[in-house]
Amino acid sequence: MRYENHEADESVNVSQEHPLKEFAQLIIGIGLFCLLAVIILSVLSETLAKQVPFEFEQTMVERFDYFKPTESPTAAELQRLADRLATHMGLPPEISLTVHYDDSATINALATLGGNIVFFKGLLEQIESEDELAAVMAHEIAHIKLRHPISALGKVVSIATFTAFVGGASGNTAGNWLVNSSAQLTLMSYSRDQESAADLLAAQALQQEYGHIQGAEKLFERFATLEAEQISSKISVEAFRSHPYSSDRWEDLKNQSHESAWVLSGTLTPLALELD
Amino acid sequence: MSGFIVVLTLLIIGYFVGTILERKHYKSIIEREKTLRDILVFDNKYPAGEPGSGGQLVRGNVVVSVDYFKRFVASLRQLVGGRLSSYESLLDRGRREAVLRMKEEAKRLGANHIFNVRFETASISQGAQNALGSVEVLVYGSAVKL
Repeated sequence: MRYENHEADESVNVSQEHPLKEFAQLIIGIGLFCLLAVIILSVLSETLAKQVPFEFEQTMVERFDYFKPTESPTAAELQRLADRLATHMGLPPEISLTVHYDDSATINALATLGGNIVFFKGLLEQIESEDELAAVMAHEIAHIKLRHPISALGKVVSIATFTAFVGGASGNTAGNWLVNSSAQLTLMSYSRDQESAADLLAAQALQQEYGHIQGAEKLFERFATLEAEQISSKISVEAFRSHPYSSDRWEDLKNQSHESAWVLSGTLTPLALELD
Repeated sequence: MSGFIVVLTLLIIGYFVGTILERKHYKSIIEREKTLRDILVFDNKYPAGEPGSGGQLVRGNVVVSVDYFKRFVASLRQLVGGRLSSYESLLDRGRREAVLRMKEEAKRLGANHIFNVRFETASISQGAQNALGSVEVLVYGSAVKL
């Protein structure tokens, strides 16, 4: 008997398809699926989160020392301004506001679970008139009125669960990366819609408290300068990462001003706020 | 954003370098298979009608890894299932290279037949998260001169 080892047939064991074709098919197919899933999840979780009673939010943050009331006169002053603005904003009766003062240099203010609003010293040092401070304050109160903190939490938790579901158990890097990217995209665009909604409510409150919304313009001007400085130097302004450009925000308010009968300019009230 | 750039860079490097190296490897495999064709490989224990004696153990051992791009495609593929073609060429190259190394050893010993050829494959990255998929292929047999 004659034996022979024949040459290997290259088309049998190895796929002849171009690897980029498979890559494109997979990434487009799975990417679209993840994006769709994340969008559906965000919408659903946001709707559901708003049904969570406000009281429940308050108990969630109760145990954080950071939100315990302090003796700070600055916080008390800020609280008075918040209460004054809140009368124009039609907050539901179960929602109460607590303003905190944080003496770190961060240029930001934030609204979080349980009606808690935090002002950072860094931001207060930048501000020169009460109108501007009120513009920030009304914006944060608007977030709380619209239940943005709890919807953000609901969204993050549901998307994190989805991410863990797709990639976590199998340690699947590419899957994880795709889900994370689509989640980030959705979270960002959503937060921008929320910022615009809060801006509109805030302008409404400014108009009622001061008879004009000049404070918002002044504030956005200041932010626009800081944004420009941020690009050229290295100051990090936390607030800009999640918000639309300040100049666009003012444009949006100006466009809305006619319909809402807002007065664009007026006299600014000087700021009488002692920082601890 | 920086995460995206890192992944994209790794994908591009993985794709181009991986493709070039694989092509080079296949070229060398096909050439060497031609030159070593006169050494015959069998999976049965003894040559038909020959007394079973005088064989020497010859081995070929290969450790080979996929590139980042292939691993990325494979982990996407694992989500939906189907032919894991990006790993097929890895195993194909590993097995053929191992056979060639075994044949080279047999040639050095002056043998022209290898009997009782066996393959063993092991994943050496199993359980290590985020490690590239690498395999070890060991092939061995008894080399004889007939």
